[in-house]
Amino acid sequence: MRLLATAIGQALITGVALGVIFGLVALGFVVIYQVAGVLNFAQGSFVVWGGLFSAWLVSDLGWSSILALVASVLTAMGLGVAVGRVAVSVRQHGETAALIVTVGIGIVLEGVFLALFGDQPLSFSAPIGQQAWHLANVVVLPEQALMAGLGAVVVLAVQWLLRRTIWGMALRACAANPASARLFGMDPRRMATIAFAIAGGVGGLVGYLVTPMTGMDFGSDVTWTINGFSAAIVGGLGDPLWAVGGGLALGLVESFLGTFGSSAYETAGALVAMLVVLLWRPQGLFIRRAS
Amino acid sequence: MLQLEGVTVRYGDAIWALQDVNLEVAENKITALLGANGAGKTTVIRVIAGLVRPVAGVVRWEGEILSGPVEERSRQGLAVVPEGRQLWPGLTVAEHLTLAVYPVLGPRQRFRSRLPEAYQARIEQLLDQFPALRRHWRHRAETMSGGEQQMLALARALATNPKLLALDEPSVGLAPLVVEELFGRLESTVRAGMTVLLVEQNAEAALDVADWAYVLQSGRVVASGSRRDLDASGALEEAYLGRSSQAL
Repeated sequence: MRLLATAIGQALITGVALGVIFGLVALGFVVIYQVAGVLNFAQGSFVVWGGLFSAWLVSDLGWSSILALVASVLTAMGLGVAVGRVAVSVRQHGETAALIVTVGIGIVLEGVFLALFGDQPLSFSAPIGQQAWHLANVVVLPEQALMAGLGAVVVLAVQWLLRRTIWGMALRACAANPASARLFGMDPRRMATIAFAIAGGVGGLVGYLVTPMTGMDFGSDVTWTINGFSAAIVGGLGDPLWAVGGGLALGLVESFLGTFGSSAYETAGALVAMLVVLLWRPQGLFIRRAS
Repeated sequence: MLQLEGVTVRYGDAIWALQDVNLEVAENKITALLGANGAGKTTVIRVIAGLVRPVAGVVRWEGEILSGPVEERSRQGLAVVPEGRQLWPGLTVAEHLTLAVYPVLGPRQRFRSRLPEAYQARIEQLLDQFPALRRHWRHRAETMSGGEQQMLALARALATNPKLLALDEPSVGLAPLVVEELFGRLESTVRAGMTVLLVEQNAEAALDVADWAYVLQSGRVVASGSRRDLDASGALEEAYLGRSSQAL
């Protein structure tokens, strides 16, 4: 019984840490979809870039992890802008065209990452200590605490930016009605590019956070994209905060599957969870159906 | 106050949306621009707003040629209520009225969560004028009735305290009583010192409040005058029904 309680507690801790991370990737999906009307399937590439670039800076060049964090996030934002420029210009030919272009960009970036960083997984030492904490018999790794803590800060910051600042309102207005936003001096294309930059930066941060724990290789983008997209669908594409809720739900599903089943089914679990939500509540778990 | 001089607009290679349009919106008056569907009325508004660039002709604003982008025109005192209201679904009434002054805010002010005092006071004034908006302050715009949404579109345009208000088909989809209330409000804004360009298909309602009207047909101004002039000439019938009549 005690063993079971410990296993459940451990799965919860792992699930929450994993869920925050999925939620961040999902947040990128939702912010871009909300503002630019593009489902960005190159989202996982931002994560891979953040991870590989950080590992290269810290392990090969000997940079401090804080500097590597800043550099990874900034360059991932730049990558976001570049992807955004292409996707937004294609968006005028329809949502599907833009989606396919982002899939293509993801494949091209995989090749670029392979050429730049090689085919072996990279990693680097966690920016905080190695000493695990014990809550009863449940182990909490410092990396997990960092992921959950920093993730929560970023989610709240993005939410504050979108909901509380006048600029964030303008970002949402551009998504809601670009023609009318233009009449009030807003530039929907620029806003869409900024949304890609935000999503890129958040993706770069995720890469930085997970690489010390799981390592990162050039082809990890597909897994990140599937998990992030599934989390966004589970939470509903309508609100960044609910996307994080979707991420948490998905993180817990995968963590419990890994603990009580097999970790081989984790990604499959994400897809099944997404399909169940699509059939049962297509608007997302947390969003009320429009009347 | 605002003049269009020989304005010509072409969409693509073949479609002439406006051809050599000359019209003047006099200060502190309501000027109506009438015409059937497809006459080019909305294009006039888009030219004035800076969303469409004419291939020939100019727009003069207080004697100067208008050529700047949309936000510059807002700062110069022009405001537009677009056709179909064009609100922002998902945003509340509060957010609509906050964003109404976006074009006149500085870059730093845009990253704050509250508007400067002067704009807040202006929004308070508008809420006194449109009590329904105060009641729905925290509600999403799309949850309000059509009339209330039109009032929000009007209040949003008035937030920057413009000198000229251009409205594109504001009566579409509204009940006659609501149209009467809306046009009554336009008359009171003019009494308060504003100038109005009213683009309308509903000629009857527009002429009730307009001081002067232009009639647009297939992208050309075919008549202009007071209600009495237009009634006498039959130009409106011709523009709407295609009957022949003598031009003014």
